[in-house]
Amino acid sequence: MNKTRRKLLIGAGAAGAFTIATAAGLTQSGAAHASGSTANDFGVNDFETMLNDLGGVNAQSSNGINITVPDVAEQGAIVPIEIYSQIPGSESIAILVEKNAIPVVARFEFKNGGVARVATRIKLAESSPVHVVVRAAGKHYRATKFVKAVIGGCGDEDFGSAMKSNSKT
Amino acid sequence: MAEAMKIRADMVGTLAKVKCIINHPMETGLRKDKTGQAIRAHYITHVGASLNGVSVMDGQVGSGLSRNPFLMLWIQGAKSGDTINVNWVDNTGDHNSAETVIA
Repeated sequence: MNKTRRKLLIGAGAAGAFTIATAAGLTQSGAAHASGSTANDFGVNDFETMLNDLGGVNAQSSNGINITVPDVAEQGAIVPIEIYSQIPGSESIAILVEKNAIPVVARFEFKNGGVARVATRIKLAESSPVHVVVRAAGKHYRATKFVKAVIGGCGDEDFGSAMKSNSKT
Repeated sequence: MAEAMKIRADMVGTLAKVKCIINHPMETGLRKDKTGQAIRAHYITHVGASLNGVSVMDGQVGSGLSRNPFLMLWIQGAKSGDTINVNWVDNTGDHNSAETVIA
């Protein structure tokens, strides 16, 4: 079900499809929440499969994708990233962190004047390549940047205190 | 009920720049508390943005976004006085939206 939903999103991007997907997502993740399992709305957790599903495996590498991200992230939990696709006709941007337990961070679809540019903050479990897959006029393009994380940002119980001690120094 | 969001939009040249902060724990479900119990997953699954009611961005997101996610977007063809709306839904069905007028 998950896989179908993702394909639906990737293929269509239409408003109708998105509504159906949202509804499906709610029921699915609601169940995941109740059972307390590791939730993941993108389906599988395998990086290669996810990359493939997003069209990133055979994607052409492109210089038209600007990724602004620090080379060394002091806090893996908060890594600022800005992605700007200058490829004409860019429709979507997907962000994947290779070493994260759930590699796909986000996939944004732009339309009706939305510029294929987004800035946000992501988590890095450990030092990892950050891949960006852009879809433009039906073709996929890819760019990668390696980010070194000093303190990982996922699954660390003492992360809160680590963050505090780090900010003092 | 979800906590309030922060949103701000300005014109930068010909583009509208929208900045937004969503207050959300973004728990992955992988972290454990001090007793070794897994902390329940609680994260945003979808974000969307619209300009005067017309969707300009649909985002499928996961727990890989940082806690209290920050989002910055650029919109073409907007003008001062237009309305920007940013909304989200999380995995528990909680949702919220915020609206602002482009300065």
